[in-house]
Amino acid sequence: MASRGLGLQRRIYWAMLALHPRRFRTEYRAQMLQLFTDQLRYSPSRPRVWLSALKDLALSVSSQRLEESMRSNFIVALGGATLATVGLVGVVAGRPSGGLGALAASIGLILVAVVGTAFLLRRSADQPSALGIEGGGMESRSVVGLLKWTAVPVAGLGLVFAFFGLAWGSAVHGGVAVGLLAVSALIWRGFGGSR
Amino acid sequence: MTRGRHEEAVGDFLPLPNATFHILLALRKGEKHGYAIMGEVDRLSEGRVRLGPGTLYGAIKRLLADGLIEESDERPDPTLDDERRRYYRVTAIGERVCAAEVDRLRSLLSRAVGRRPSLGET
Repeated sequence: MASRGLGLQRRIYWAMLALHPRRFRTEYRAQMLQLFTDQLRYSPSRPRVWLSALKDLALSVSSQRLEESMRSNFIVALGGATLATVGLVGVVAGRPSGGLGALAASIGLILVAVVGTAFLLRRSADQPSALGIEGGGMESRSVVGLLKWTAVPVAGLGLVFAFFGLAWGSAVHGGVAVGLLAVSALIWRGFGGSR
Repeated sequence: MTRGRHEEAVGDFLPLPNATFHILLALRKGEKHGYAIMGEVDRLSEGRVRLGPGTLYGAIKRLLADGLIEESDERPDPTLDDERRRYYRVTAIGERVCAAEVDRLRSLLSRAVGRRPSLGET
């Protein structure tokens, strides 16, 4: 009877673990269930185990969903920066030859990259985190650490401008290059790259 | 040069979050599975830090990603254990980070105690 009760509680907890993001669930769902089962087996008070499990679940679902969302934002930002870089290279490289079609396509690409990235990031920011609860002091060092790498495409873009600025003796391109490199340094520092 | 870079890497992890520090301390006593880590953290903190399954595996996920712990294939006693359990152990860098956190806390504590008025005085 006791083991039947345990089986039911395990199934309920297993179902509740589905609230975690898929990546985390795939890796740790079975382990978390095993741990919860051990707690139920060895704790003198099952209601207390459940109370603590519910609190823990609310915190961990929220925290893992937040991390997952930051990871997605990073990928969106990286994709947008790459597209914008390709577009800018097209504008800068296409200018001397004067190909109007190529220039328009490059500007279009930049616009799509900027507007698309802004739209996707905005939509993601508007979504509330799971259960509307903060991570409860759990750190997300790995994900925040990933954001510093957005500095790399920005710096790459700065170097492209620097190259053309030097090649054409253009102060405008040089100024843009300095600005982009400064922004890149700020991103790197801001996300812990030189701590 | 290499040593300096390693020290810088260790410093990047500090200060350690409470749960992370306790997990590292628990694993310094030997490889453990989730429930054993939870029990050891409870003992170490005299019941002040209680890790639930989600908090524990969230912290383990990050510790693995940061290379501070690793999964172990060995079982302390395979006949007494469920083979589905995963065991974890501290890596060399994890040991250094843990030691650095202890030094940081020790130094903070000595500064706090040495200040006037003494803590607890009104």
